[in-house]
Amino acid sequence: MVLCEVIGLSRRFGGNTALHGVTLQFEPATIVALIGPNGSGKTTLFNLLSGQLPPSAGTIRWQGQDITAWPPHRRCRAGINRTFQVAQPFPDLTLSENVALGLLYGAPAEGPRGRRDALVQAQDLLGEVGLAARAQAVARHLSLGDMKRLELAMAVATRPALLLVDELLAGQSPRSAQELLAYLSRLRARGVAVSLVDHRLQALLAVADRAVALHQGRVIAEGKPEAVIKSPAVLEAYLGEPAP
Amino acid sequence: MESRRGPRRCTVVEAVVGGLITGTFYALLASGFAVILGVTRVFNLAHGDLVILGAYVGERLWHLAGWSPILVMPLAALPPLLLAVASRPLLARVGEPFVLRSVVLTFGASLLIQSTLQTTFTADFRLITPPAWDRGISLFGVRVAAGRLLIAATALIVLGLLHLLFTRTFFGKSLRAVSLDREGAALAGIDPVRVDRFVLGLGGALAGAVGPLFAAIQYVTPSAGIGPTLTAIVLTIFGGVGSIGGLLVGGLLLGLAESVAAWAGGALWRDLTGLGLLLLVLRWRGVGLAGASVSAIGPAGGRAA
Amino acid sequence: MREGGLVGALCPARAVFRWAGIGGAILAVLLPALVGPREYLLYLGTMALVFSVLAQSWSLQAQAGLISFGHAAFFGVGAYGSALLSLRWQFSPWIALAAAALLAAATGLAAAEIAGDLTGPYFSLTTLALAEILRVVALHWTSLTEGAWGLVGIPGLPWIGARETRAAEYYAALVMLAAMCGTSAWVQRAPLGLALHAIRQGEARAAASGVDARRVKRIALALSGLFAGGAGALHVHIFHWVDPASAFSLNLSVLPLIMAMFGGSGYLLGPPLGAVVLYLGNELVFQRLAPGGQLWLYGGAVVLVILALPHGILGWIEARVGGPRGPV
Repeated sequence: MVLCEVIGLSRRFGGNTALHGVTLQFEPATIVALIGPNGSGKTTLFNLLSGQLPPSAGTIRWQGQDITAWPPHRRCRAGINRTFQVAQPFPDLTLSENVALGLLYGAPAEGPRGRRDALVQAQDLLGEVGLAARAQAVARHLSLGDMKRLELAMAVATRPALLLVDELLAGQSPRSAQELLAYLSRLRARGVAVSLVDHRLQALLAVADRAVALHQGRVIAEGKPEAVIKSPAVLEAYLGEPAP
Repeated sequence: MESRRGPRRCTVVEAVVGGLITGTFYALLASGFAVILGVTRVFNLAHGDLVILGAYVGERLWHLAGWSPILVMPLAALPPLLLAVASRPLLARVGEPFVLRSVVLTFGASLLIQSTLQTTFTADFRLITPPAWDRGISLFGVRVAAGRLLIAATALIVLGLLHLLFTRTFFGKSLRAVSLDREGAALAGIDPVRVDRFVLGLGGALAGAVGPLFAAIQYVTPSAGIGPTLTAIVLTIFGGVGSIGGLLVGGLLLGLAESVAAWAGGALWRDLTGLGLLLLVLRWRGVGLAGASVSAIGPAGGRAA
Repeated sequence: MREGGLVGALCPARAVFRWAGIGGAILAVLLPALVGPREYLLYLGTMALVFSVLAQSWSLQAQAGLISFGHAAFFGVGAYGSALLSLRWQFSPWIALAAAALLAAATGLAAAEIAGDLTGPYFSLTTLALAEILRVVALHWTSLTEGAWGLVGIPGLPWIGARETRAAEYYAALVMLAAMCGTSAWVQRAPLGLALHAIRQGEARAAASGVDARRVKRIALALSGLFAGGAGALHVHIFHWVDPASAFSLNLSVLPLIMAMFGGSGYLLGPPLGAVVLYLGNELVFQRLAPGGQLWLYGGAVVLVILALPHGILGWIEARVGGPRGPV
């Protein structure tokens, strides 16, 4: 069953084409690794999927429905959510409050009843990403690694069916990176479709079911992770020379 | 802003020509505001009050010594220049969010300037009325007051000089550098504090210099500053902070629109046109600049992925 | 987070603030009895309350980062609305007041639509323009508003037995302030309050968390308009006249801004505190020293707040006594 489909998605910024006719599908309970050099369009794709940017061309379908024109908050409530590459929680709110917002507004039908309930649930969610001890601290002074965890908790709070994770592992120690990837695997087991962008390729591909390689805004390879990273197109894009 | 005295316009052609002439004046009126906003990011809500301050200086010198409003422009520019430069250390103390807090601060300054003017000059309505300026001159078959033409010519000359300053001189280029990228400019060896001081002085001087011209067109009262401020805001947002040409085009359009609206519907429609254009321009340019800007989403909204 | 029930919500968690708040409330209720026949003092108290409502309603928008420079728009709609309803169309002043407040709430909705997604100084300037438009309209639509002459002879608020007294006005203002503070306290504890703060700190991020920012702003502006309009309506029934300059002026617009920021707009009782201090300070002290010079006081207060008291008086006090977290 296809959860989310993008068809011929393009995005131009002035003279620069960041994405060019990308067609992809996302299915539940899978982890898709999105790989590619800097500038290949990965974050742009995420921005288009979650609604922060409108496409220049193409459509996005969600469970069969055309959602190309939907604003971000509507997509969030439908089940698409993401973390941001540049972590930007609400600086003057506590971690609990940051997460509670998503609990209250991200999926209103299934959410907590009021602010107090939400804060309690937020505490639990923060525990899942290892931030329980810091729940009452104000978000402004978090380290980069902790901010990324907070971003993850905020995104999970909205009960996503498709979770887009952008550069989660930056600033994490190897052990905490493993813990976070294990958490994403648990999300997959719960049926969530996850798409990951990260520069730590090894870790990424170990947990991914599928990989999609982007280069200069186009999909150049797709399939099982091991196959994708060995494909000639990908090697050429990363290393700049045809594979022997 | 219409003249509160003089013959009623009776043909639309006269309204058009008059509006265009007023438009050049508007562009000069806005230039001080635009310069400050462009480089220091400060929306100077006290701009109009600096104009009025200059207007009072001009009016007093005219009344007491008979000096022409054009000639006293440099003198009228002086007190606002000093005030603006003196405000630099205060602006440095404004915290985050800078743009909003500086707006509120300049509003407070506006109130203080207004109260000073009220105490010093009382609330009487004042006007500069050089008799030679009333003489009618025929321009393209339309009668225009000589004074108006003089004001327009002065405006164009000053605007032209400003344009040369920004595009042809090294200092002008460093102004633009700082307005585009403060940190980058500092790294390139441009001292942002000196540039700020200069720009504030220039903006204040431009505002004050326009004052005597303003006093020749319209009644001056201590609280008359809001009008010039709003005009400056419309034109600056429309024309872009770096572009004298943009200010001029915007000024001409605004002057034309107001003049035709006044000809068609009187003072009410003139004012509504100006305010309506302000709302339009804010809405047109405002989204994507303030608040939910795309650059908050990822590096430069999608450049690096 | 503030905790401990409604009273806890009304005052910051510091016990000293809580007791000060309760003490102030008791004093406010008993004031007419304490003041006795000195009607002027009661009048001052009423006006202080009216401005408190106005300042508090302003800060409701400010929670979402919507810093209004045109709050007089709501005040003026309430003022003219109630004046016209009670003067021209003979409605009971109480009904006129309620209807005018609703009209002002509708104006808030309109303001939200006109402003769209604008925030920051662009939003502020939009509100300024809106208030100016209303002033100009009120000035020139003479068939409705009598233009610059204004409307006179507006009836006062009838008390029991159709008799109007200063006490009626005072208690009306007090009830209005209580309702306003109650609304603010409720907002602070409800999801809406969290959404308002989130929008201020990052509207894009809030939208990505599922917050419909447009809708939240609509609610904030409508509530803000409701109470500001109520204050305006109350004002005309106390003064029995209204004109464009007093109802829609820019200087009126910024009074709630100055008062709220001076008291501390991040605190529940900051705006009323700022309103009481500045209004009474002006009427009782400043006007004796510099008659007609209230712009000095207000301008100076603004500059002082921005440069030295970023979180207002309450912020300064809380920083001294080491408060729990500071304002949000």
